[in-house]
Amino acid sequence: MTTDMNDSNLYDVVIIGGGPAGATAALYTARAGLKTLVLDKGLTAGALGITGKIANYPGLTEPISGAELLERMRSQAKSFGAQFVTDKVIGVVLNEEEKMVFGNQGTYYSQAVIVATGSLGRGTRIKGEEELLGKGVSYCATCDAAFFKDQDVMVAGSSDEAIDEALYLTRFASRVHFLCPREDLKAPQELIDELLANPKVDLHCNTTLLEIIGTEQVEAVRFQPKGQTEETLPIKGAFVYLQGGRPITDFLQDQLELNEGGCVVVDKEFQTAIPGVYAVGDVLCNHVKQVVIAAGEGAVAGMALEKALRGRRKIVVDWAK
Amino acid sequence: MNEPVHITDAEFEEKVLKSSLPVIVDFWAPWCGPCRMVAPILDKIAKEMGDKVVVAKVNTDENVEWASKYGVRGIPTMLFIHNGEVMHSQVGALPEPMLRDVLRNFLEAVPAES
Repeated sequence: MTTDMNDSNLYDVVIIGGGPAGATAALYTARAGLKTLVLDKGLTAGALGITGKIANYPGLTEPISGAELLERMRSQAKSFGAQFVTDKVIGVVLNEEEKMVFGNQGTYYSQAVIVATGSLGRGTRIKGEEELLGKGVSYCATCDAAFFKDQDVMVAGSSDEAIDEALYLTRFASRVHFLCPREDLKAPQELIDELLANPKVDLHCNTTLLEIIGTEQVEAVRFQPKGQTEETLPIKGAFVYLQGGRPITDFLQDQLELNEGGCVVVDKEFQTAIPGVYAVGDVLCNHVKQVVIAAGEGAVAGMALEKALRGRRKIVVDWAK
Repeated sequence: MNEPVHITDAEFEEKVLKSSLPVIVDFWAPWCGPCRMVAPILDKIAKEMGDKVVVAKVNTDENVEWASKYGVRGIPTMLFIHNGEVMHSQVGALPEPMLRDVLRNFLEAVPAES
């Protein structure tokens, strides 16, 4: 196979998801001297990043915002050499010695992969979404924005990923209608300010997207602002970044076993059926959705992975470090 | 032909619509991640099955005419064309085994050339 593999995109471990599970795993693998890359869609792409206050993380006695706690975990992992790259993973090849992770921005190669994508994935699609995929419905502004030059488009979502994509679209589209499901946006303030200041953006918050309308191509969207009557807006492109409550596993494309809840199946060291491929955090079932648990799982997987890569028999406890 | 052919809008009619072999047209662009995921699979197909199928790549960054005629608004989009007719279209990247299934079905549907 032709690849563009080189030293700069070849890692010991690629971690997909930079929440508490992924960031903690990175802290452990990077500290153990493994070349570690964390791929993440953004600070507020996951559950911790959008949590207002965390008051039960051991050792942190003052309440702290989820995003702040996550930033601290990430900077701690970075201090040991872990690299963080903002990218959305769209596919993987796991069943090879050299694993491949495909992102919108690039392709990454590694010996081991940790899946830590969390559970803010969507279950059901919006009416019309599937039928009009590639005919105006898109999940990748970088890929498809150029097709909507001087046209009106819609972005649905509330995370920093959705805002980044909307801002990218303003370079091509004439108007970007931003539909957010809640009252406010869940993203760093400077990003929100940038969105609000952009003259091409119309923000419609507290709004439920009901349908993407079109036959051959997307023609309009139907939505309902809370407590008000439905509206239909003519647009040509619909970029969807909504979140839900399902494990995010679509990018795995059936390469890992999932249980009936849609969660990745792992052993007690969080390894999947494929050696060198682990899964931690909310993407698992039978899992208490607490930051400390996700972080703990990341630590176990990080240590087990290091042991496996270095061919050690037992996890080495480093009391003194 | 053992590798994909890169074609422009001007060459599309000659090399795709008038091709005697069935053609997979891959509408792609350099800045598209999912396109990079499909590219090595299409390279392999071109190498292995160059006598049965043509793999044609159209960079939508530089060639908009045919993409627009086919209503392509998302990439990668792969059109499976025989005798100038679109027999199947695939929007978005697929893992290799699934893409090979799509190709197999397409080639089975194409009448054998005498």
